Amino acid sequence: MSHIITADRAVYDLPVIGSPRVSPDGKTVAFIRTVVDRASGKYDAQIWLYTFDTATRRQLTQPGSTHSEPAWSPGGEELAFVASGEGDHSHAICRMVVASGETSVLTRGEKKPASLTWSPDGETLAYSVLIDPANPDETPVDKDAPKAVRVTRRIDYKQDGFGYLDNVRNQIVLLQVGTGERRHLTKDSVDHLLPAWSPDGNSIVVQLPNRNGMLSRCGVIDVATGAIETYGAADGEVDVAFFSPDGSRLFVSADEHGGPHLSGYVIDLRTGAMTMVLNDPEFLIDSATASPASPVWLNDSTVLISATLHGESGLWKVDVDGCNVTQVGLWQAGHGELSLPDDLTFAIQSTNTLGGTVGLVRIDLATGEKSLLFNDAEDFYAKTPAALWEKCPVERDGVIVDAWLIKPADFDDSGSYPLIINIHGGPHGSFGFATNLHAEIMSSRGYLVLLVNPRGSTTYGSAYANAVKHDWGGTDWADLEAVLDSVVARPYVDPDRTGAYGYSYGGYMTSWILGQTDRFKAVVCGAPVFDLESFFGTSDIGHVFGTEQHGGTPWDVREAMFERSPSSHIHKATTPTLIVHGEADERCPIGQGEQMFISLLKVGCETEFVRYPGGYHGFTRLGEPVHRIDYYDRTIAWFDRFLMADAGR
Amino acid sequence: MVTPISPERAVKGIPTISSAAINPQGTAIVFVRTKADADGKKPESQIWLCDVDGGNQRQLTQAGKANAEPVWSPDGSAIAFVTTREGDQPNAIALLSLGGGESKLLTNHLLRPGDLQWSPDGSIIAYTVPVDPDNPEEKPRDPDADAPVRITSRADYKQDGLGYINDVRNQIFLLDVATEERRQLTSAKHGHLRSRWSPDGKTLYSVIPNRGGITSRFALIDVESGDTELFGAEEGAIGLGSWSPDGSTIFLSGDENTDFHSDYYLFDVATKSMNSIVRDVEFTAHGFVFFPGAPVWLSDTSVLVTGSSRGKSGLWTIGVTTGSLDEVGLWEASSVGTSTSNNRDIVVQTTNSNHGYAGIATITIATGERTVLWNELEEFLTESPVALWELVSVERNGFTIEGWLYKPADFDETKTYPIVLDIHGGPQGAYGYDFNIFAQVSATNGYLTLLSNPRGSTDYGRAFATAAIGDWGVEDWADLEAILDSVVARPYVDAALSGVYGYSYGGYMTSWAIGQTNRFKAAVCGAPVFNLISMYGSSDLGYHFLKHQIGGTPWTNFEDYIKHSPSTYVHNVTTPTLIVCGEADDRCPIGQAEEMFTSLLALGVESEFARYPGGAHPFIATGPYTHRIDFLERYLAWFGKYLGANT
Repeated sequence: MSHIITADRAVYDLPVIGSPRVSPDGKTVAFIRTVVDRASGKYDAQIWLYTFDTATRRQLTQPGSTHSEPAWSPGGEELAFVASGEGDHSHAICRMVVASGETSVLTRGEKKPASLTWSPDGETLAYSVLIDPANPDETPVDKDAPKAVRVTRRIDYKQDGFGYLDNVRNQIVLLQVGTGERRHLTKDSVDHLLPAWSPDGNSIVVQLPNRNGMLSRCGVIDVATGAIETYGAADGEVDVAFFSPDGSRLFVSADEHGGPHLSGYVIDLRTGAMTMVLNDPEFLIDSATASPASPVWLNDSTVLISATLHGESGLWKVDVDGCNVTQVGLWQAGHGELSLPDDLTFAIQSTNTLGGTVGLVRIDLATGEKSLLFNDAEDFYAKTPAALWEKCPVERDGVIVDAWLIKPADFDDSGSYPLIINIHGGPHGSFGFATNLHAEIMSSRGYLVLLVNPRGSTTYGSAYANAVKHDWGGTDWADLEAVLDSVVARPYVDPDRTGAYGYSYGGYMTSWILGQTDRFKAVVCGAPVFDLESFFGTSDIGHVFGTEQHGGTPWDVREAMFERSPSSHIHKATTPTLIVHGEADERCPIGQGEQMFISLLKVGCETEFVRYPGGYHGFTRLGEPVHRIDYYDRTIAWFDRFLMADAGR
Repeated sequence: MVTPISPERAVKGIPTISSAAINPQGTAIVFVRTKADADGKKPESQIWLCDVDGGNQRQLTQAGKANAEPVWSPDGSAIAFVTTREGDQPNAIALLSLGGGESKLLTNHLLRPGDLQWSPDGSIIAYTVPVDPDNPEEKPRDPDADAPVRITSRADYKQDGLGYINDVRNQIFLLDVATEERRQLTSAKHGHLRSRWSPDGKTLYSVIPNRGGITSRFALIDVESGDTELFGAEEGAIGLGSWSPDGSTIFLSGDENTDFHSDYYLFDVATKSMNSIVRDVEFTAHGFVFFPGAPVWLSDTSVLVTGSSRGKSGLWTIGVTTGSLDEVGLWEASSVGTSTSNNRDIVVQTTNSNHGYAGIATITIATGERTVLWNELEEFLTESPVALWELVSVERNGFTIEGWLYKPADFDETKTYPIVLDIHGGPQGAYGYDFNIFAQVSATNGYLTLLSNPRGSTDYGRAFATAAIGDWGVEDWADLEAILDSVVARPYVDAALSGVYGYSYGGYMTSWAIGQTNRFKAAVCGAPVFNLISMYGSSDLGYHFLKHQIGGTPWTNFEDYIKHSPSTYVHNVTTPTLIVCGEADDRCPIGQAEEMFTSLLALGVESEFARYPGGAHPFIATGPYTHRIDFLERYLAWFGKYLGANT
């Protein structure tokens, strides 16, 4: 078998392109290119510059540090960015004169700044950064002393990816570009994220997440006094907020009940009124955190948004006074982020797609015409072709359940293939046309990989997304099985060689499946939710998410939680199961994996438990490269052992 | 007003004596003294020697700060011990000749060896050391490298205090004292503890712990070939064994069902049969992991054993042919060990007591006469006197429930005091007449502190010890309330100011109690068991322990797991509660405390959660000084806020 995409290659040789920022004059795009350095095994992120005139790109920053957050000065001569190295105070905020490459460090800190934003007059940079109120000066701790006792009284004392936080929260800091002087604008021990300046430079709007980001409001901060005015429902979600060109209004994507699908609202800052202007669209507005794509005001009554519909990426113009929405374009591709030049004539987005593209796209806002600026994955897929794919939706209960079947590049419909159903997280997540590394790796080894968006998935409207609430493992599992049945009936699918794979909510579903059916020959279950009651009290978001998804606390709805916990059905499991889990996962804590592992052993089910020290919930995508490779290799080995052993491969 | 015992002094100011061993000639005693090092940051252990009457104390070791486990060579001319020095393989076995001179390092390991045992002829030392089959060369881990991925398919993949272990287990090594060559005798995927040489030096008896050490069998291992044969009930527990002088039998304590009450057996080596000698004794046999003290053959027909009864420490002789049981003595103290000289006339034990002493005791076996050689606490208690106490008891449902009511040293019965109910771990554990630092701090800082042994406790016989099985939180909690009621009725107790504290099973009971009653004004809950279903799969020994204690599994006995889980009643809680837990606790994992804390906050109950980074289950006794002091200060502050003794 040729053209195998090994885990090693997938991790080391496939670059990631992100954070595109068009220069104000529209002539260049700064972006971040991230690769894994083979020598050190560490991530290396550098700022590059694409020039439209010549259609060329060059690297602006140098190895030795990783870089993030490029931000053009209002005049377009300079880039501010963050350079992160090693040791104490390892994160530097830098400014570079792009023409000369001359770079200076403005300030240094212990924690990585985010969302660098220039004030309209170009004199101040606002950013968010984690501040510990017990150590605001970031004095390094004595590494030989026993670690300080952690004492908390707040329910959101920890967060996945950060671990124990207590009152450590993101605060807004103002940095004087001329002097390097810093001022802490906010102090309340809640997060302040995604600062954006008002056109007159007197205010900054921020997102105010609480309950570990499950809920949020927005706040407008007076730059002179630090006074903050908050907007949005107390139990709702406000994603990103941006000032209209005249500074009188904010556009926000929001929901009064915490999503997952958001509507568009305008907040009138003179009256404080929050008016819905885009009511429950079928598309999912790209969120600030998952795929940072900020809405952009094109004029005082029109906002451009990036969103995803049925797995496809698109741009829409929202007339906030007429409450009309107009599609600019919709593409079978994964697009993220959104950056426009001063004249607002085109948009730049990062892209990665099924079929093997990683790069930047330019979309003309007048015509909707899209062009690919470059494909940074060309070399990678020249050696190992990308998988083939086809849509394979199924109708069930009068609803279309969308799905993709990923096939080996050398697929032959006279063959007989093993099939793995890959179940996404969430439940309010979705598959789409973005690159799916797991599917690419597995299909290159001769597997069919089935990606389904069952009920609960986003990008099909809020009714579809909310259909899974109070019904985990019910209608969504029926949707998954319906699509699976229809595909397995095809002549080239070997029904005796099917496996299931899922991570996070996909881990919930694979552990649920073990108690529902013996149809699979092997299961790989990543970071599962296994016991809804212990999840409630141990997951960083359990106290919000568990209640929202199941209708109450364990003491309110214990019977319902018990019925829908995989732990209650695990004694029926017979399928050989590999459990993979990050030991520092605070979202789906390792206790969930431990409970599942011990249960499987005690019921005599073949199982193996793989624990990744230091691994947080996102480690399979952004964790230590050696851990990611191990994770893929182990998944491959487990499926190969049970699904490929008889195939003589 | 007398000075209360401060948390800082309680943690740093009390020296401890351990591992006392008398020489074969019966003239000298070697022991370990542990106290704070010169800058008061860490404990330092050194080996000391004294005459058999306690006189002429002198420090034998100087190098290193962790010298432990001294054992006499058979001829009494040298002492082998374990020590830690600098270097890549910092843990060593050292030899100290009493003839003089520096100690000599015999062999080094990456991890710490233990269980040193001299062969009868004095040529070989058998010991155990954790061996990682993936790192047989014992290479130190590169601190800059990514932590290796952990892959396991065994249920006992982790153990409290050790963390993730997978196949890392204690293996037996044989060290040639003359040549300093060593050889690894065992390599099975189970652990080995407390090896004992047969008199002919050809066979080793070894305890084989399983399921995180909660169950054990024993092995006979051929010293030449390493061939191993296992004996004992699969889910039982085996204590230390002792070969008869002629090597034909082994006397041991054991328990067939993990019911925490042992009987005595004689194992016949030739026929491989186990014969019951004495059953259903009224004391709890020592000789398991926590209380070393192997049986000692006094003659070909009589064995000396140690144990505890009703909180007292005792010695008994057992006739191995007659099954007779005779008490040598029973003392209001907590004592450990059965070291004897060759002529078997006296026994040496380390001891401590709520009468305000600690040190080494010698007991004349023939008369039961006991002498405490000196009081290690004398200086400490001069500055802040020991708490007063009285024994209290109530009758309930056919059992006598005992307790110790600790009082401030300057107790005045015309005043009123707040009271804290302090609940022990287990449930198969026991309070007794030991010098309990937690009770001393609590009581001398102004709280009447009631320590009790409800049914389920050890030390009161099998029926009592097994009474909580299948009944967690029901009759044992009723026992605790009954004894508390009886004390609260006293005029000097302020009934409105009562609090509850417990750790481990005591944490279970604390979280249970506040869901059953609102009588307490404050609770301090340490390392609780809160949700039995999640405990089953996440505690290092949950899957076995709860099978015996609750019954079955969460899926076969769901109703039982729900009925006995504190989480089931948490919505009733109104008591302000401090929760403390070590973040590396694998026995009662921090997820239990997290579930409790999240629930209390979601219910609007006042709660504080103190997490101790790196803390294993016993961190309140063995963790870093700063953490132990913090715990005691936090305990006093929490009760101070709501019960107000110290304000």
